[in-house]
Amino acid sequence: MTTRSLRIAVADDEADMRDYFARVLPVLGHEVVAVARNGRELVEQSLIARPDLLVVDVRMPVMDGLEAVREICAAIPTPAIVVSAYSDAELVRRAMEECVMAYLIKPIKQTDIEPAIAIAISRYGEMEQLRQETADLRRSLEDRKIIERAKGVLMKRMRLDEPEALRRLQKMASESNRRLVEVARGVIEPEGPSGPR
Amino acid sequence: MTTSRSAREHLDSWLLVGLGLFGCTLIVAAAFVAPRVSTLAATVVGSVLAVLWLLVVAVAAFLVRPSPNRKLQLPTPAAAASDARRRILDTLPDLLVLLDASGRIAETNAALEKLLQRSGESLRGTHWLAEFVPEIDRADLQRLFDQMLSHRDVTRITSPLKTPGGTFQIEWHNQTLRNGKGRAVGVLAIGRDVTEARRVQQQAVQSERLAAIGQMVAGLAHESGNALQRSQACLEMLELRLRDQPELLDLVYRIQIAQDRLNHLHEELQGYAAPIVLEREPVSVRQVIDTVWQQLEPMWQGRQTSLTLLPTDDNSNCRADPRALESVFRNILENALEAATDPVEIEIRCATCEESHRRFVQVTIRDNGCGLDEEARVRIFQPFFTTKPQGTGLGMSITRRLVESHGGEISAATAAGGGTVITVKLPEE
Repeated sequence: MTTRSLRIAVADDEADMRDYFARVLPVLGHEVVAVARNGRELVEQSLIARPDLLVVDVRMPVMDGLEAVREICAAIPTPAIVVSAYSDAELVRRAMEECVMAYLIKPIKQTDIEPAIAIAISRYGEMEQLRQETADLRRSLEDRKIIERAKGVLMKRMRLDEPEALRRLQKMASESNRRLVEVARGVIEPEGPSGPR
Repeated sequence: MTTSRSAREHLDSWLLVGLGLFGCTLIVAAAFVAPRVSTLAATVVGSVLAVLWLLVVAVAAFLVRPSPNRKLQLPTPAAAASDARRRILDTLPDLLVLLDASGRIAETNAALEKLLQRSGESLRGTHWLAEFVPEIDRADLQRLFDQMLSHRDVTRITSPLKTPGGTFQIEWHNQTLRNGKGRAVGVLAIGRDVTEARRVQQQAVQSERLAAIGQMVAGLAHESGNALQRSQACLEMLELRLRDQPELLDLVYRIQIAQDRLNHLHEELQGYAAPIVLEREPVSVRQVIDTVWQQLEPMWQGRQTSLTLLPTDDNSNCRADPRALESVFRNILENALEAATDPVEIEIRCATCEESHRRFVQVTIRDNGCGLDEEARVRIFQPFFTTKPQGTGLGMSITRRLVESHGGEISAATAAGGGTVITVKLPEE
């Protein structure tokens, strides 16, 4: 299993398990950057250490693992693997709402952790990529709307046909060395505050 | 005591009437003759005629005397009452027996005679306890019977009754019968078959106990996850430390094998104890089986196996939880694959059937494996029963729970040519 070396934060209220993660994860080629005894500690340490991955127990004192994952993800989106002895429907449902990429039921072994980490990281990467693509698409769709409106303004103001209006916008952009959408926004703005945004 | 008279009895009556008329004729003849002869002659003739008539009547009476099975008497009011009583007793759905003071049967009713498959006539005089109560209970019941006769009224007892159709549990309501002087002369007992009611009751108690144990086991399974995890964690850490000491490492591996067994058992137990929450949707059982067979590829790949699904058109649609059904058929097919040596032949038939106004999809899975012995056939669905060295004995038990939670049924039998047949019945709705 070839996964790049990750910086991992772990949380478990049992000392044996903290010890275990601290020893076994380096054997798998990863670095343990935070070892927490409860959810609160995990949040505090993770916000400083900014790990690539969280490995958390669910039932812990002070703050449970899922709550901690929720807080960390709100600040820095980070993939998480849950390792719990409990698999009640309610816990699983809560886990699905967060950036939890895998839910392992105790007892687990090294041979369970290794593929879980690989899959979690790869899934999270795919998810991030999709999120990025969606954001890009949304922005280009919005730019397109602004440019269309700017064309409309020019057509009306200068009595141009559509290709002519576009050419005028492109010319303005290249002359002022700005992006087409910025020029378009400049064209719309005098029209009043009714433009998008 | 019978009210209908036979044709033969009619004939007897007419014969008597005829004889009467003949006698009258003789008397009239004597009276006619008397005035014409002397007094002595008349006396002689009269005497002869009278003797003759008496003789004829005696012969007739002998001929038509009532034999034991030919009763001439007409139904009297008392006989009619007794007959009505008999009818009431015979209409009673309950069992009735009247025992005399020696414990012998004096009277029975139709319900009891039918259950014992004996006639009332043949039962009369039979010793009740010796004949119809299993030996093990006889002494106790004899004691109760003696008490009933001597001093104590035992109004209600439940006791087993031996019949040709098996032993039944009968709840008897008794009354001691006494004569005018207060002496007990017998016991009247009216009984009701409570075999089924008892069985249901016992089953309820049993399932309550099982439910309590189940809850305990579920709690245990739940809580032991953390402990097993810690043990596993320490074992792996130990393994890391002992990398360069092979003989100690060997001990670690041996502990790990035991740990693996515990982990597996724990996993199965948790699956067994988890509450079943069904998410029903329209499902083709056939497709579920197809899916499961694909999932089991690692088990049959490289072996000589054939799976036949019949009939070829899909007639197996029902509303069920597809994941639960996958578990059901995975367990059954895994067992089939493990039980059979190559070439493995598994035949699955889907059919629909109707039972008490409900439609079912019936799936029969037959393998050519080693089959089930009598013990296995009876216990296959019981938790922790297994014939496999590495089995937990929970697979088929979970399977039954899943089928029953759908309102279905599952049964196991030995196939005609060896091998095992598992029949799963699932309601369509």
